[in-house]
Amino acid sequence: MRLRAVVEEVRGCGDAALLRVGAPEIAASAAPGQFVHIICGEDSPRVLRRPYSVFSVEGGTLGILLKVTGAGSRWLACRRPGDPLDILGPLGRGYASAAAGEEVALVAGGTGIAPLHFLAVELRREGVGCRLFWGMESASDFGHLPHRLGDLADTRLATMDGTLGAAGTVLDLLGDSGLDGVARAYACGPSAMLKPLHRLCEEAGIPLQVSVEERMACGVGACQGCAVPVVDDPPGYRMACRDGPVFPSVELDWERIE
Amino acid sequence: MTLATDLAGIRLPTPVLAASGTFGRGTEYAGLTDVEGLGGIISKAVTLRPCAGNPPPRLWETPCGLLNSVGLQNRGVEAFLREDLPELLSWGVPVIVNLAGFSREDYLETARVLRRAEGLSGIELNISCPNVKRGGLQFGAEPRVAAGLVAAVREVIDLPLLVKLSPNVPALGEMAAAVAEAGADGLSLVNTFPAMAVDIRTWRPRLGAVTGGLSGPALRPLAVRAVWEAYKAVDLPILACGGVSSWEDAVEMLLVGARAVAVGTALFREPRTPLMIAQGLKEYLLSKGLANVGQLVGKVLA
Repeated sequence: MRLRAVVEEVRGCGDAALLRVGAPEIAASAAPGQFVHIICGEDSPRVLRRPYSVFSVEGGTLGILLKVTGAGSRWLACRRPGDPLDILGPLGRGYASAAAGEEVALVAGGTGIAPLHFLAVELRREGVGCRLFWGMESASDFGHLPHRLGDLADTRLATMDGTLGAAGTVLDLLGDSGLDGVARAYACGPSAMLKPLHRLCEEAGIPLQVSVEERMACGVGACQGCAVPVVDDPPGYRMACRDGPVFPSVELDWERIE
Repeated sequence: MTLATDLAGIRLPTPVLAASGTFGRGTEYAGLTDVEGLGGIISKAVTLRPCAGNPPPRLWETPCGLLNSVGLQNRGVEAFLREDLPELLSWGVPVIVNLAGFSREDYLETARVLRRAEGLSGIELNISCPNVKRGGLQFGAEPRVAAGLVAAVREVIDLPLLVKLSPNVPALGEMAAAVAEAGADGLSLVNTFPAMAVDIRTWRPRLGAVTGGLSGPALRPLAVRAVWEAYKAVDLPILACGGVSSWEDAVEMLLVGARAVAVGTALFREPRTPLMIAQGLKEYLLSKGLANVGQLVGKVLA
């Protein structure tokens, strides 16, 4: 689906920004883990759209969390209320849900919080208990956002510089007991985080679904650009945009993922 | 006034096609654009056997351009005929198959299999893919080698045969003449330009395959010049590809000798680009009092 959406609000969250975008048709059908594909600047030198996982859906409004990492995200962060946005979505396959009464772990690295936030909202509504582990570089990364998640999930934070929560990575935060009693786990973050998490969950016998970060062009499964190595015979690839971005972690070939 | 045109014996409803490797089966874009409004669809490269493609990352965006190193990922010609072609044909627009290979025998065997296909409008012989170690460019670098392959494929298949060339050929006119002599019905110009980018933080290449091919507007002036060189050298219809993103770009390509254009990278941002270009061309022809795009072909004052 394609929309001329309208920016409703841009809220600074530390070094990140949370955009609220009026896009009723996309909001009505978006599921946690799906993404939207946004043109970041008409007549810009950027030939590609930028994919963003949906952070939240409230009524007809999409929440999009972004960190400025380049010219595209900088352009997005500079939008003002009333500005138009060209959005495709919702795209891709999201997270499979959990059963009511289950306890699940959500593990986020940096902006990987976006799809997990949306997921936590949905899971809580369905009566699933959520333990959220979120690692970031520093307390300044996301401003007040980490402090507003308490209602949603049992939240534990880690920062590399120790300025918020525990010092270290989100995996340090999980430690030996973080996954105790957890029926399933969900994650989104860099592969350096997902890889050891996959091993940890495999050892503990906990099914894990991961949302992968891969560069995309078309976003709809046509160009074969966003390849993710999968366990297959012979070894092959699936596309993050169409087959993912969420995959059961056992399907991915972690040996071939850097 | 009509946008319909003829390209190497292929009747095109409009002179604006979807370029190889960018449009899937068309199904992917259903709902985002009117696929039926295209001048034609050129398939993703098809090889004899399934091909896994290159390790990721396969994409890197550059100013006004895109590097890719997909590496001919496809499920092989049999699966193509069984699963992809029926869907491609369902849109009711001409379908041209991009035929690639890793050896001469690969190309010929795939061409033999494609001979059985019903409904195909033509072949785009890919001798210019920069993303595979064997085959691809190795057949498109030297006129004599290219001509040998074109002649052999010509023997096997009767369909209109377009030969897709690289912009990175020293004497493009000679190359064009050689493949024309060997029996090509038309030329497709250009494939991506061999390219590379490096992450200066990690000192590692941006692409998993180290090098890739550049597409997008950054490539367009190179493509314009290549079309012009080929147009001067041979009397073959030319399908122009390389950064075409607007009707103005399409007119430029027609003026230097193209009979039709293919849109690739621009689709990723705006799936309706080919339809917007067709509409723009129509208005341009009307404003100039021209009856068809043929009246623009090669009319550059140079």
